[in-house]
Amino acid sequence: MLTARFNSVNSRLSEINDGVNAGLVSAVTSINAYAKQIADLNQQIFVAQATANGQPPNDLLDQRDQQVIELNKLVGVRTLMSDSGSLNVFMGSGQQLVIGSSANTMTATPSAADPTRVAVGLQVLSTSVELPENLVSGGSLGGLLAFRRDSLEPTANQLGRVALDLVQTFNAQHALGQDLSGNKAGDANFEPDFFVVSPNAPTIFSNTSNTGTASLTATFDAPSANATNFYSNLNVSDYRLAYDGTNYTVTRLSDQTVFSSATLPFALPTEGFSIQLGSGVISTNDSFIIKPTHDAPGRLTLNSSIAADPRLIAAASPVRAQVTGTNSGTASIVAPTVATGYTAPVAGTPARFTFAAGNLAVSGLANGTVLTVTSAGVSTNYTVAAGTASFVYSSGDTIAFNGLTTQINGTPGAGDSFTVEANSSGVSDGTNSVLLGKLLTQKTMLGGTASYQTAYSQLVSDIGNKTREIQLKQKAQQSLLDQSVAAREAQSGVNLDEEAANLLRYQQAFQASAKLIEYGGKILDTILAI
Amino acid sequence: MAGRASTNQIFDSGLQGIENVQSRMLKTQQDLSTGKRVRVPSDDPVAAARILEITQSVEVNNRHIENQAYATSQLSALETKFGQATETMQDILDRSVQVGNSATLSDGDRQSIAVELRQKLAQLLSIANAQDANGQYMFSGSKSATQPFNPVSDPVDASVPASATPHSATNSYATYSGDQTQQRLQVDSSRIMPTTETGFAVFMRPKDKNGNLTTGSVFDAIKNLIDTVEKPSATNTTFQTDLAGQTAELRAFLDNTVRLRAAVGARLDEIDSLGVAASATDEQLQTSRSNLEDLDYAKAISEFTQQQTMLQAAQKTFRAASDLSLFNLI
Repeated sequence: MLTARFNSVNSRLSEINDGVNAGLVSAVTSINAYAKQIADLNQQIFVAQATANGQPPNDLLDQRDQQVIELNKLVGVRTLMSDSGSLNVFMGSGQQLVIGSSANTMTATPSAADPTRVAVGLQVLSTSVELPENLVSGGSLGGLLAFRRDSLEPTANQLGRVALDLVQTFNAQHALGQDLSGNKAGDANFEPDFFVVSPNAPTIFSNTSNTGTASLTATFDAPSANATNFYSNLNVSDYRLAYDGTNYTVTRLSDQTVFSSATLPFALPTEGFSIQLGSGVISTNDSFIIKPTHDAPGRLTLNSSIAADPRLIAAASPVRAQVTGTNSGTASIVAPTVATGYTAPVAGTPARFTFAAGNLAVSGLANGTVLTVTSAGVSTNYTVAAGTASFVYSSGDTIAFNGLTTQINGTPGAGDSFTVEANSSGVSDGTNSVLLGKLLTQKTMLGGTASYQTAYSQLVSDIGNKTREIQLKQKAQQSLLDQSVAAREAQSGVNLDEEAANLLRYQQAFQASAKLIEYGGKILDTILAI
Repeated sequence: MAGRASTNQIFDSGLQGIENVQSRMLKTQQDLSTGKRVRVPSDDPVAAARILEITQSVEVNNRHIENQAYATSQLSALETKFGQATETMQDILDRSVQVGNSATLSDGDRQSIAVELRQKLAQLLSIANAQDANGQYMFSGSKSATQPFNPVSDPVDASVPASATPHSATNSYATYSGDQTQQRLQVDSSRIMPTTETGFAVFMRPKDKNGNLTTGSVFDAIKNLIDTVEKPSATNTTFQTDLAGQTAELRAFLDNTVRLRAAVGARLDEIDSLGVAASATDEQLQTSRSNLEDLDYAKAISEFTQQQTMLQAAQKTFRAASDLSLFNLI
């Protein structure tokens, strides 16, 4: 259900992205049409002015003004009247759209850096040059680009990070467990992954203008662990890797932080992934876009084996601690904690700690196994040799070996022993599932500073704020527009009462003139009749 | 605004006024029909994020309440079993005191007491091997599919000869096949509570009243007692000492069971108070959530009425203003 929810939100986001791409293409098509018409009108106005005895071609000028208004609805442009009467149209920082009677063509094509996003460009000679997004502002084109840049992509990335962090931390903890059939890490039938992300790697796009043959791959780091839980270091940004001939630089696109390395593979531990050369040779100035989290929500599924057979959920701990039945003392042993890379004792061969003369002697561990005993904050290592290792017993010391950590407390009697053994038949043990459940409220994200829910709430709050901000902006812009329209209407708008009054005035003037003519006629008649 | 207004402007601004009020009325009407003040995050981004967090807290709290209910049922079942075990052990202890105090009991009397003790031993074994409603052994630790106690012979069968040496940890009458892992449930954000007691802790090695661990199981102690009682008095020279020792050991087991029963009772009490706290938390979270997202109906209805009046005014003035034309008069 959780995976389905992620999948469905992801498909909604990619539908929106498709909509943005389609919107960009249609906006660019319309812009080209208007630019062409303005250029044509420039030509016609020039000809008309030359042939019309200095009378301005008002119809054509009105039409051209109207076209510029329509063009501005699509993208913010500035105009400059030339001496010849042509209107030149510029966008961005002076990119020419219309010069005299010729119009440049804008393009909307898949970006060279990332084919999933449509980029806006300007056709220069026969090649299309992608325009940096900050040069295209205003109008629906600018709006679509800003929406994609500021809202859509960050949302997809943040959602992806929640999905990936959940998968990484949950799977890491799940892998430390044992299923109902007694399978654990290393066993053929053990399913360490509860969730599956396929492919489980950041998405990488090679820039299509790269000259080298290199194909890069990226790998997620395994989640880190602190004293209580696993956490992930993933960020929400996309990254760009560029090669300048000597160094590889990775730029975090959200804040332009730069990481540099002279070699590949390039480890980025603070970002939660690393980049390797898959095949081929990289050339100077080649670049790549890396999107670690963007696609994850759509790739998330439940492990199909576990979905089909819930017995494969690793709910139990793979090891347990036991006090030997014949012990005479009161000491007890704490249930061991399990860390990544652990080795559990083989069933039937427990690690046994036997107390004698103030020491604990361990047996059942392979020669060379290192035990780390931490007493009052000081750790000392003991290596198993000739089947045993011995250290001074002190109540409450932690004893760590093979990724397992336990503790013996209390007063043991002479010859008392304590074992850490494989958890065979422990069918009611839910130790690992308790730990899995705790992940929900633990700090598993942003390098161990936020929980899943905090991160998700943040995403929702970000989007809500953005929407609210845009609503307020829209109101402010609307009132600006209203004022401008009012000013324009005050100058050039038609007031019917005014027209009616004028009509009356002209009517009366006409009647007065007519009367004058009438009387003039009468006077003339009178004179002639004399 | 300029002193001159075009006819277009008069119509446009009139229309815009009507549209503005209508869109606000629509929002108020949607608020009223859903009862929610925050329907989409942009209505109040901060509240929307808080609502999500509170919703998670409510869900987590609900899981704790569910776990408390499950823990209560497990612990209650455990308490019942402890009650039965205590009663059985008390009966056995009463018999052993009776045997010790009555020097006049004949061998025949002792035999009949022994028969009764055998029944009690069988009863205690069946309590130790009790299964819950799902067929899980209650005293096996986490090995709930494994029968925890397996006697070497049938305790009710009188033909089983007395063991040559008394039963102890190294010569046990009933072996323990469970483990020492207690099942645990998260019953509160900061409390993971054991909901079972292992057979090892209950029947195997309790501390006596001096705090020393006894070795062997309660079944060893009872079987040893039965062996002592069954021995013909003529050949039993150490009868009183044996009986006294075994009675003391049995008392230690009884004390242990009583202590564990008290601990289980304490845990049930704790769940009760955690349950009260969880309900209070739930109520408080629901209130916070409601404060954040629920609509103030009185306010919304008054707003709606106000907007209604505004809309009527806008419509009427629009009509009036649009009717005013010099053309009507010429």
